[in-house]
Amino acid sequence: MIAKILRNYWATGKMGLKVGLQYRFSFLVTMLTTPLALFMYFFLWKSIYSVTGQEIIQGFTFSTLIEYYVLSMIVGFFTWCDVDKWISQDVRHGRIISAFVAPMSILSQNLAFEVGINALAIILEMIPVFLIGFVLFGLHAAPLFNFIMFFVSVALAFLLAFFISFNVGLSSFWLKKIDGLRRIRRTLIYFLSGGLIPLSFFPGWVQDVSHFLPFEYIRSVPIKIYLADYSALAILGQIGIQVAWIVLLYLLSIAIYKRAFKQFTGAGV
Amino acid sequence: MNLLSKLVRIELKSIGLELSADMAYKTNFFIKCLAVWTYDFVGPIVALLIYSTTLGIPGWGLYEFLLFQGTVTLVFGFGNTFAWSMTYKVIETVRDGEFDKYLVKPLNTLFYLFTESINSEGFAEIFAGCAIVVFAMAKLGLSLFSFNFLLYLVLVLSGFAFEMAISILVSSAAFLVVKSEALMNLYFKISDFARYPLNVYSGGVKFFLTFIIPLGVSSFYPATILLKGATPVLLLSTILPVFVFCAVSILLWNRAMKKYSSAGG
Repeated sequence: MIAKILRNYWATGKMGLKVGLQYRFSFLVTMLTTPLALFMYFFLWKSIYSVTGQEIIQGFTFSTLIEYYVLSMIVGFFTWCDVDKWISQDVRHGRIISAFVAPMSILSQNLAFEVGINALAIILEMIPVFLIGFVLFGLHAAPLFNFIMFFVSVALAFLLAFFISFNVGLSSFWLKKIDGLRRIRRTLIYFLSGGLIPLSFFPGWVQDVSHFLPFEYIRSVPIKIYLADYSALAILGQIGIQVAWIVLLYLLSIAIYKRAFKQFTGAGV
Repeated sequence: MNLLSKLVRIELKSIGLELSADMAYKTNFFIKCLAVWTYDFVGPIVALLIYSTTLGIPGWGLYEFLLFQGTVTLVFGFGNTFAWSMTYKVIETVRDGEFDKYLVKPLNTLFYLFTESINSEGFAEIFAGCAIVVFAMAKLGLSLFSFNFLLYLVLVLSGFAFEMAISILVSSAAFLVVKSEALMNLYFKISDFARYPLNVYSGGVKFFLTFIIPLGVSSFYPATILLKGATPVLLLSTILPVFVFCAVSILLWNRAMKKYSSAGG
């Protein structure tokens, strides 16, 4: 039974990997061009730090801030997730029907597919950025415990991003076209997770509110684990919150999915 | 003159068509505008965060930097509305062997493609850019009726011309290599550098963004000239590279047209 389920996951994951391979050329280009942004942040913050004349701004020295951006890029590769695009396309074209009758739930199919499609990107993009970070941008190796926990937390961050995206995707059962919603989702996750600027630069009350939103657990928390900002106990606490968010969003998606399934009348059904 | 009025007529028609298509999915269009505005206002929010926690970007006060960001949004908004949808169209039709249909139109192919390709989301971006620029100008006490503002408009237009030139360049490449999207993505990555003033970068990067890929004209030079005035040398060194870029891109496009042989669709 379990072997059969695993085989299903494996097959779907492989499908994602193959789709990923189709885009290997654009991955290559991304791999070569993505680190450019690091140079931009490097110059920008260098000039800001030199004119401000402070060693530490909002808890960051210049070199830690650059490490932050390197790690932010790496976390970004993991948490990149387009499942809402696939779902909305399938709903519009009526292909979602074949997903209904597959021997796996829509959720598992998409999850396995997304893991497959991301696996390649992670290997192709993460390793060079780590290397560039170590060689050019003064990234320090984290203590082993933090290093391992960073990857645990990043894997959970992927699930968190996946479930947010999955819920947005389910809205296409009602809205059909969700390009706009998807863009808002992308911008909000990117900005509120600390993708453009670390959350410690935000006003205090925003930081307080942010602890109760899922976004910072997608990027900021794993990075802070790597940078050893938490004690061992606090790391476990943060990971606990990540898990809690995943469970919450999972339950939400089950509830939405049930309603979506009931009212769905697809093209050609 | 006859040609110009024809082009304007087609352009207006395309805009009308694009908007009426959007009105068919009103909710989606509204949410799309909202998405564009969310994206466009994240930049100014980051600016506020930077300026409230540090002394800011050297040489630029908060409102000066907002003027800068508004200009970037405006110029890239023009590019997204009028330039880039053409490139997507060329890449797609060349790949599918459907490009021939543009060759039989009774108009210059390039003109026709530009007038036919409109991306309505870009209007929301242009609107946001204008709003930010006007707000910043009001805060800085700058007048709309000044010689510097006239120069600013000229430079914004050159920024737009540069977007057009790049999009023609990438479109021409679509006839030579299949994966010209990669070139486009490369350009978009580089264009991110234009989102911050060139004086923060080292001399080499600044030179590159002024003369090799003159992205400085999409915001740094217009904003600088509006704030501090221009010297003839500065104006010339800003606009000349754009001219060269436009000329080269049209030359390449014409060569690509000559060499193009249909896939037989």
